[in-house]
Amino acid sequence: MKEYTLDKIATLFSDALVDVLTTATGLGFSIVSEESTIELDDLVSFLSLYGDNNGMLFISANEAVSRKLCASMTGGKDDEVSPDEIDDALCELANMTAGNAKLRFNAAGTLYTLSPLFILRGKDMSIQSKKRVSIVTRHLMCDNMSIKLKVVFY
Amino acid sequence: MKLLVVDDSSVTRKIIKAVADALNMQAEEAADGIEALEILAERHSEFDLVLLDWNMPDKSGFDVLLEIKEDENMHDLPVMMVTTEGQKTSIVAAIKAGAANYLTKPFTVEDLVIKINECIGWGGDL
Ligand SMILES: [Mg+2]
Repeated sequence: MKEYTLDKIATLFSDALVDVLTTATGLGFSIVSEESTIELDDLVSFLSLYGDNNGMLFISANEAVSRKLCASMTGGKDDEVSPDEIDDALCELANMTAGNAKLRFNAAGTLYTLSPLFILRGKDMSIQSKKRVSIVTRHLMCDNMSIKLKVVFY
Repeated sequence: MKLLVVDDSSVTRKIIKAVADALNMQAEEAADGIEALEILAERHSEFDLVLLDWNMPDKSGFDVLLEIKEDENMHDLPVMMVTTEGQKTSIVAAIKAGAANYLTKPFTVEDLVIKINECIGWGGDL
C-alpha cells in the first residue's frame, strides 16, 4: 500500500461499516477495540477487492446479532427471519461496506473491483495465509451487540 | 402501479417490497438478471418501473439495463439502478445507457420513495 497506512485502511473500512449499519439498520455501532487478536464469530461474510492493491474484507457476528441485524434491516421481528435471510443480510452488509469503502478509496484515486460475496459458518475460525499479508481488525459494539471487521491487504 | 425488483439479495428485495406495499404498489421479484429478462420478455407491459441491482451473479444489472434499452419493445420501460456501486463513473455509465434514476445502497425508506416518485412521476407518499 503506497498511499495508505494500515491504520488508515482500517479506519476507512470501519467508517464505511459504521455508516452502512447506521443507514441500513438504524443501529449506532462504534469501535471498542483495535486488538488484532480479536477472534471471528460463527458467521463470516467476505469478499475480495481487486485493483491498485488486492485485499479481502471479512465481517463477522454471532447468530443472534446477525439475526438482529437482519430484522433491523427489514423492519421485521427477530423471530421472523430465516437462516437464509440472516446469511443474506450479513453478505449484503459486507457488499455495502465494500461499496462504501470503494467510494472512499476512489475519492483518493485508488480503484477497486469487488468479487462476489461468500458466507462461512463455523466455530473458532481464523484467517491464515502463507503469503505475507497485513491484517487489521476492528471490534464494533452497539449495546451488547458485537461485530468484528477484518481487512487483509497484500 | 407495478414494480419489478431485481436483486440477488433476498433481504434487499424484501425491504423494497415492503416499501412498495406501503405505497400500495405491486412488486414482483427476480433473484438475478436472467430471471428478470425472462419475466420481461413475456410480460414487460405489466411493469411501470424496474429496480435493478448492479452486482449480481451470472449477468450484471448493467448488462440487463443494456438489453432492456436495446429492445425496441422495452426501451421505454423506466429502469432505476439500486446498487452499492456509488462512484460517478458507474452512475454516468448507467444514465448514458438509459437508466431513469440511480440509488446507492444502503438507502433509507425515504430515499427510495423519493427516487421511485422521480422515476414515475407519481406524487404519492407513505
Ligand atoms: Mg447484489
